[in-house]
Amino acid sequence: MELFNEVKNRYFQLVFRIINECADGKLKSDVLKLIDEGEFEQKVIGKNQQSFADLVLNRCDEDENLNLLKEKEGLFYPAFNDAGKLPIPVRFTNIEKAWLKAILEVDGVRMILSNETIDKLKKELGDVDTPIKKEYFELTNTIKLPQLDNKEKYVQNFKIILEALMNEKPIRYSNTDKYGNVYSDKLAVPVGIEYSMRDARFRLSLYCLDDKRPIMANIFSLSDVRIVDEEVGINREAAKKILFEQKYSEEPVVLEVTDKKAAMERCFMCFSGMERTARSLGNNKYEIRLNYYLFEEDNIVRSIISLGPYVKVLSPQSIADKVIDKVKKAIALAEMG
Amino acid sequence: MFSDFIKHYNIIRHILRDCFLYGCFSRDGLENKRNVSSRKVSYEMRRIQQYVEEEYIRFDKDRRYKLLSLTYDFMRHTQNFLINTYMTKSFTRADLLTYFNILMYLNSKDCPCSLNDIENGLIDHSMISFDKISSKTIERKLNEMCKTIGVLCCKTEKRTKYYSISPDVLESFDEKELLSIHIAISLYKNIISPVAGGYFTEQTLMDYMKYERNLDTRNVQVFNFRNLHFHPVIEEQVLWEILNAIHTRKRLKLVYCKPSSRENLQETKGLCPYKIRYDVRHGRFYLISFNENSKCIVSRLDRIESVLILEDTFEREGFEEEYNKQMCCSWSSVSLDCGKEPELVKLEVIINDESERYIVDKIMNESCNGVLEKIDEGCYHISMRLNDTSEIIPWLRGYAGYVRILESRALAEKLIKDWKEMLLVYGIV
Repeated sequence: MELFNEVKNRYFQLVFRIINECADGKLKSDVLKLIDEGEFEQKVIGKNQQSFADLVLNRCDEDENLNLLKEKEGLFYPAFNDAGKLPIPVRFTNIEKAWLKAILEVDGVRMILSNETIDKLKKELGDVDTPIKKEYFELTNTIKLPQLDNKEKYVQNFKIILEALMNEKPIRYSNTDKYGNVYSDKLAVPVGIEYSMRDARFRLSLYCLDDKRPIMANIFSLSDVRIVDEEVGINREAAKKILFEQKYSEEPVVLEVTDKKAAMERCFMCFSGMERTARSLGNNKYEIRLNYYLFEEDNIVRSIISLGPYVKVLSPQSIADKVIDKVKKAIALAEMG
Repeated sequence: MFSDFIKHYNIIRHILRDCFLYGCFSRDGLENKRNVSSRKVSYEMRRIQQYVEEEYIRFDKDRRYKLLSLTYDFMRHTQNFLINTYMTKSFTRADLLTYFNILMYLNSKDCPCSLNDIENGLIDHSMISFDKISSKTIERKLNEMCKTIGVLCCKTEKRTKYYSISPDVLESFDEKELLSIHIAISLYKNIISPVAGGYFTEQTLMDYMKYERNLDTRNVQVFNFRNLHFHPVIEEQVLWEILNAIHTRKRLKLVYCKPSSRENLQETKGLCPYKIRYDVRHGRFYLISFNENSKCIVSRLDRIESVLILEDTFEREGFEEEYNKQMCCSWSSVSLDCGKEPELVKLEVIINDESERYIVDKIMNESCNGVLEKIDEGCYHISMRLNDTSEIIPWLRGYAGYVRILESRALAEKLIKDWKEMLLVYGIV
């Protein structure tokens, strides 16, 4: 099966949903609502100017109607309606089975799925011949962190945090940061588990209620993590909002990129996960404005320097100064020898 | 059936990348930059605007030109909106009707049905008419639904094929297990390529939980991702074809475009596809294959226009040693030239005090095969071997102020030249 396949077309999926939703009969207005929610914002129009709703609700000429639904006493039912049965069964496609089988081979999946679930899935997918295999891939430009001293504790912490997140519960924890500072029995709302694509490590983003600030913590360094039933007066969404608002820069970084040696492509790829706008300045030069999180500033400065002489910081001056200082230091160091 | 959809993903691939990922081109700008007709540009831009949800599309104005871009923020957005562009393959009226009518008909039967049974059943229920959809069309669709798509299964008895709905692989899982599978998918759908497959799997599981089990199916949104790129999904149709060729040990030919111009396409000779390398930092896929002389050929997937799978096969095992030899000292994608040895790079890392020791650890964690030696307090040497030292220049620049190149001299000179050029850009001589 091709990845780009018509059965995954948004409108195929919409037809599937409409037919199954109509199993017990639906009013025209309900079907129209389903279509409205599932269609593109800019609706599709058929060859003879029919709308998708016209075709589904059989409002066109007889040989144009889809006739997948039939109307009976003001309600729409699937054309083939076997009472008590779902009209269209839900089954994984071959690609989906292949993908699902592939994730069973990933180390971290055992932190989420029990051994029994993995074994059952492996048995069910036993005949699936998946082309998605570890041996066919190699990741580069990764960060190889040292092995964890206590993998068991890491897994246990991960599971408790995941449960807290799924049930929207606060936690209490203790932690020692990389500078040796100890934080004991802190109350916090977990905001999310962050996975780093470069080092394949999970970290916890949380809002510490005792210190009233968002924190990012290594899951392995946490201890005595437990879900608590305490009233905290703030939910995950509100904690997230604080994180986004407090940590977002008010002023964007503005870069001028000269498109030499694929600098533009490298620059866009480097900053693709940041909110940005760009425009051409002419003469093979482009301007990019990047909005960023304050805790990312050091990484941004590093990325800008790594892009070399074809990228210049136009503003803010504080970032430009950091770049200049580092480069001056680099020259001094190089000339020292 | 609707002209809004496309037959081949390639139609929007380049424009999606150029116009929306970069976001700095007006219609005219793109026309000039890529040498494509403005009619095509505006047509495809309109399509993409239709496919991608409005919240991710940003409009800016540059003088009289309108600029469009797709933008997201790694903390706020964890759903790859470019997946939507894979839900746009065109279909005919017959495709739609045969697919759903066959599913509905077979699901209403308790036993497998032959082509004849299905045809007669559909005609009896006035679901199709022969003057519109032929017997051959139904047979072809049944085959496709069995072999290619996999939602049906088929057994042959006395030369007659009997079709039924594929077995339910999730039947024996309870609600708690289904939820745990959903959580796992919600994490790995952004990690395991092709991620489009992960997103499809998640949608099917959610549909299954809702329609087959009447369970609550809200999106699981507990994970977010650092260093996750959305744009590599644009190359996943090509990736999927290559993965299948690697898996079935089939040789292939690539239609490859040179970086200078999209019109300058070249067809390679037959290659043995061996491995996909993914540069996590930049979000770029490379295919490593071998030609008839066992020379390593590296191809960027975003430059592969199309893949032609050949009938002849190859022995994968034979390339393992060659791959290790040619790629073990590659930082990202450069292979070792025939007859050459990897170059030695030696860095001196200077830190102010032990509080900056993390810099040394970071460099070590990021370097492929670095060997660390403590020379003095705050002074460390790191040695590594590389196929091509120019590959690490951007990485080295990132450690400006901490790193000095001891070997090679050429690399050290190149870096100093870069630093000086950088200061010149800021008007500092």
